[in-house]
Amino acid sequence: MELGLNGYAALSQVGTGLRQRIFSRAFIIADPNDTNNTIVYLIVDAQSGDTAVRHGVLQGLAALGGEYARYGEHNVALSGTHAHSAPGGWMNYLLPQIPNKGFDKQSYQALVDGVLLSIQRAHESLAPGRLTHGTTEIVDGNANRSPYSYLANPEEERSQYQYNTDKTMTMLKFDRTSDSKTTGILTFFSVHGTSLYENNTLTAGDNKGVAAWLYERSVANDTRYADDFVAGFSQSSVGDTTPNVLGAYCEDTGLPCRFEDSTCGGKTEQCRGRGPYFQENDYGAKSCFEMGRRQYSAAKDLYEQLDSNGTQIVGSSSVASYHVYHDFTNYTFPSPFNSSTLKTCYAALGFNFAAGTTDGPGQFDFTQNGTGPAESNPLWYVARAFIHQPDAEQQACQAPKDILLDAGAVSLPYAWAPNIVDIQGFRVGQLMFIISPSEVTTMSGRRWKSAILNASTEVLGIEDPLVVLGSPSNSYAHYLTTEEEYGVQRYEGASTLYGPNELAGYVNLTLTYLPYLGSSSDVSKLSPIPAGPNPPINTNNSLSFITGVVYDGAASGQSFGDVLSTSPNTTYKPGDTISATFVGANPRNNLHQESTFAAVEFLDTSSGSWKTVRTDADWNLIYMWNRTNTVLGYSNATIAWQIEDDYYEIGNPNPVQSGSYRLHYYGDSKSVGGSITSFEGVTGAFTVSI
Amino acid sequence: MARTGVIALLVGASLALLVVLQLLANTGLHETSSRFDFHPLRETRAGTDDDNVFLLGVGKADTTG
Repeated sequence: MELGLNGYAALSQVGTGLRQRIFSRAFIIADPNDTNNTIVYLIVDAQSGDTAVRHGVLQGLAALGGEYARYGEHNVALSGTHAHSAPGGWMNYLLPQIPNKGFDKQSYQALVDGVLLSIQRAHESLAPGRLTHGTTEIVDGNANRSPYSYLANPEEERSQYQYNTDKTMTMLKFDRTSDSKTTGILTFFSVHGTSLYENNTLTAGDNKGVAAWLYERSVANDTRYADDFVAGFSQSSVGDTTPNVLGAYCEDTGLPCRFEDSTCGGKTEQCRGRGPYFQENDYGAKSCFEMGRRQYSAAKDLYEQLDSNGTQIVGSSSVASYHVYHDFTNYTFPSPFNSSTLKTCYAALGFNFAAGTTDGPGQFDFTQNGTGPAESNPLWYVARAFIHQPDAEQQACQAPKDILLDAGAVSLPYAWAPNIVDIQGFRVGQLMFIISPSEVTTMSGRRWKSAILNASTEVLGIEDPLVVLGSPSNSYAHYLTTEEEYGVQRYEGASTLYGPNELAGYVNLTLTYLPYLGSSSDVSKLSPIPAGPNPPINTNNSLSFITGVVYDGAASGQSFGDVLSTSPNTTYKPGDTISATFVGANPRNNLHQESTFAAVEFLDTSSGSWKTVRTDADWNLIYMWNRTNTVLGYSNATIAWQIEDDYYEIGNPNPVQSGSYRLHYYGDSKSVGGSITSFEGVTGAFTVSI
Repeated sequence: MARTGVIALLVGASLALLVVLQLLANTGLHETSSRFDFHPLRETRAGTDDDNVFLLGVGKADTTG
């Protein structure tokens, strides 16, 4: 709350409440005969991985010591679901900090602490188990938001694929051998976390957060699943995908946007993608639920098939990882695709970065594909020079990108963008993990996967290798397009930081280090990988213009937690919304991690006790907070329960039942002296009639 | 000759003792493996001969800030 949400880079998108709690989900796989050979794959409900957050997590693991010494730089991958609806203020570099008004230590610590706890819980649950791999297609699970760029790829390459996005969901099923129960699923599917629109101000995990919550809710009474089952929905080749699958239309005319540059009347602002329920006036909430439901449903169906149609992951003695930091500044290397010598550049963003996308359009006179007047507007060149004027070498390196922000050259007050990124790979048996810091477009992902698959057979001798790709992970390095897509310079190309050869650079490096995923005896014959240059960690020197909580006040005659108003009826049915407003206090006084700000309670008539049946982790229970008097510190907290109908009850083994309910608010107030005091508020009972 | 016999007896007894100890140790390992199947040990992770069996762990925690 009161913190900018991360993803759309919109100053106006400041948090006002909680639609859904966000989580870190940790998956650990180890060689049972040598537990130092282990990998940790993290899925965080966040815009991306990040250099500072990962550094904080690694420091935390080092401080834990003991058995946790096996986890470190080489084998911890921090991937984000790319949700655009989670709090920001935790990123390492200045550029993504700007829309959030800087760095917020509380937000950063909440993320680091949660990630660490998820790893601890995964570590403490380690037990012998088997992995099963399978795939399915979700044809209506995504669309391509830059098909014009995709068409720039060679026709003979495009003709190998039926779709212009990856429609494949890959699942790894984790089964415990002691009781054959499934302890987790780890899925990979490519779709942007932009179902909730830029005007949404409620924290949530976007469509992948919905998918994970739906799946975890669905197994409550299913004895095939273990207690504390975890469902992971990892992001993959996300770069040019969108969940707004109905296409991009002009909001003023209702006509399709111009294909080449996604404009309406020559401007980007009116061109927006439409999700399945775009007609709802709900900031994209129902579309978000629907796109999550599609991933959830596909995962459930795939799960049912894996025992008969799945592929066992074999080779528990082949769990390996590597990690190296690499500076893309003027990196010269042999192309992995042909016999040329290529070079990457230090980080820069092009003019069309400022045009945004159909998921979140930009402003002013920027357009995708450079068709607008921005690139002929001298004022932008003055602004560019004020920040840093790219020299001729940089401009040639980045061509045909017309550079707007020469970010990689700026280090005042601290680095604006990464030049140093994580190059990391995992192997589990015959399964290879590509860990990408950049948001990989569809065709980039295909080329990268193909290169790794081929090399896994040639170099590592793996028969029938499998591959998954997780992005954006570790350091956040914006986008990754093919050289051809880069040439079009839509948003994704303009955001490909290291120039047209960035994909070739990533592929070259991951092929270079692929031998380090070989057998222990083979790896022992290789020279140790140098760690590489350390990236800057700006946690302690980042700027912050985010004000803290001063104090909370309650009006005369009121106490914190008092019910100010409730919905008028006494009886409700599925599909209705009941809400209550309380005398509130700033939720930043106590984040209630592992707990809740809001609850729905059901009266158990047999015992006369109230039982919690919904918390703010549930999609249909919304917690909102707003200041009513800044000087006096007054605020309200509103809880709204959108009572689930059949659509929202999908897979729920414990649906709403008829009976008496009430709403319960948990808050914490801050006195002028700074002390924090907990309080609660409870409504009267109301009836839900099914 | 007598001393040789005593030495042989001692060597034989030592070898027998080693065999017995090894058998006991293997029995212990087997029991550890059995316990390991059902109750993962925090301090030691006994190995397995099944190349399709990994050590797997999953965990989830709140990161809401």
